[in-house]
Amino acid sequence: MNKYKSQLEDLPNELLSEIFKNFDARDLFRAFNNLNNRFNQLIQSFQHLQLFFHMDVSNVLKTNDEIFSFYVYTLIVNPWINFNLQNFSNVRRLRLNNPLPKVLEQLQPNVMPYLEHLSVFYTYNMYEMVLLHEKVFSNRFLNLKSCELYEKQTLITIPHWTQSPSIYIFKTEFIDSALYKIILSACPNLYFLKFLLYSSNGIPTNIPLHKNLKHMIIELREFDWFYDDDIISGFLKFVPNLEQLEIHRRNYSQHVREYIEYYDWLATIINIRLPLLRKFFFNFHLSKDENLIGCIDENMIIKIKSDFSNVHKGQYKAQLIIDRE
Amino acid sequence: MAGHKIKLQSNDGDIFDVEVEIAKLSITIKTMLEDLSMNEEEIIPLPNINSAIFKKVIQWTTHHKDDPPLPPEDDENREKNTNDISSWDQEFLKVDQGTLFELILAANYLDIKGLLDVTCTSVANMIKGKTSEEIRQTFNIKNDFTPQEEEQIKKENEWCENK
Repeated sequence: MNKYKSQLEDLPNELLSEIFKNFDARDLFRAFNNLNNRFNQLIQSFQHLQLFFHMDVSNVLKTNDEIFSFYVYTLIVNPWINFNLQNFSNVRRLRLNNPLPKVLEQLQPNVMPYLEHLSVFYTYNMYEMVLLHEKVFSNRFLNLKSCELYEKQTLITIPHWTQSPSIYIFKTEFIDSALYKIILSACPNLYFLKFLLYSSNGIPTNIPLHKNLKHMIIELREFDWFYDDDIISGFLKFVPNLEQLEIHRRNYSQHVREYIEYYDWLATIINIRLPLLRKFFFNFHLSKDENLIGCIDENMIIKIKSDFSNVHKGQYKAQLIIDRE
Repeated sequence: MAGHKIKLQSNDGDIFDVEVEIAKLSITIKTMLEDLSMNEEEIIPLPNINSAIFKKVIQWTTHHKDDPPLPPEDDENREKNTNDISSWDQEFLKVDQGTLFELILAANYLDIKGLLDVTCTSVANMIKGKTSEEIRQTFNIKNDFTPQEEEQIKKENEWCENK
């Protein structure tokens, strides 16, 4: 009878990689570096392993000169951490959560030449963010495909933005009509755009048609539905090839019933603006607040659902999702 | 009510009657039954799995037959929570190293993602907190470096220690 017992080294590389996915870069290198040639080769082939390194306060002091830094593929950095980006030259995915100005300053195309996905979350504006915006939207990161810039106000723009043809995906928070125009112009190949509508600047004008944008997600938080919808209509006018539209509307008003009574759930706007639309999702988020919960009862929800399906009878698939949050 | 059964044969000749719904948790078997139009009366051979391991696989799939499907792994959830093993699975995986690695190979061959994930996580948890030397001993990993490479490694380590 075969008494041979399998060992770790009997596993093929693909299965060892499955195990390695459970580690961040530091742990992986600590455990497997310099055990033998096969393990060395495997842990250093970052493209397959997509090494994570989650940097938090406890390991900040040791990170700058560790051997694995060069192989890190995905780098995630917690808030307010001071560290040296220079050693992470192979990073493809970078997430910075409330970065220090001196860290942002280091984020240069020659420091991370292969950067493909960038996420930055920050709660206050700083000059270094303005410089980063310029780099992102002026094609300094030649491989950058997707970008998330989340802040508590509209992005700061400067007139030197040129164009970044590599960017396909862009997610942010507040966008007004002026910023919408700038982003569409700066990202001619943009395919996916997600943002929170900031309607204070009115309807955009004089934007060249953007024919590559196919998927858009818009968050709405204003009280005045009809004004918002006018702005949305103005936005959609310039993206005639949109194939998927997703709306997130939140109800913070006791007057919501007045809107719902005559509302067509964007059907008219879609019919006019989006001839190629294939999918439309309307996420209606109702408040759990006691003062608002009674505004829309079960009967009202039945009416909303019925109205929605009655008005959306176009060529596209339309779905209404109602939840309470 | 017991479900419809199929016959599966391990590489040491034992034949197992397994409920179709449970067997179909293996994408490999599901494909054989559906895409290759295998008759449910036929005995399906599993040349890469012995009886002992297959019994464990059936035990696991029977327990997990009603689990919801796993979410797709995407950019947002690529980071794994390595401690996330249920108490039943922890008990199930109290086996020797050889059995654990054979379970990984079986889960991979049969394409049972949930079993593959939990066995890989279990090995990862065995490794965590150990030094390279401890791992070399625990898993009997042979050193195949040349004397020159050894020398180079020593230098690298000195460089790190001096920092």
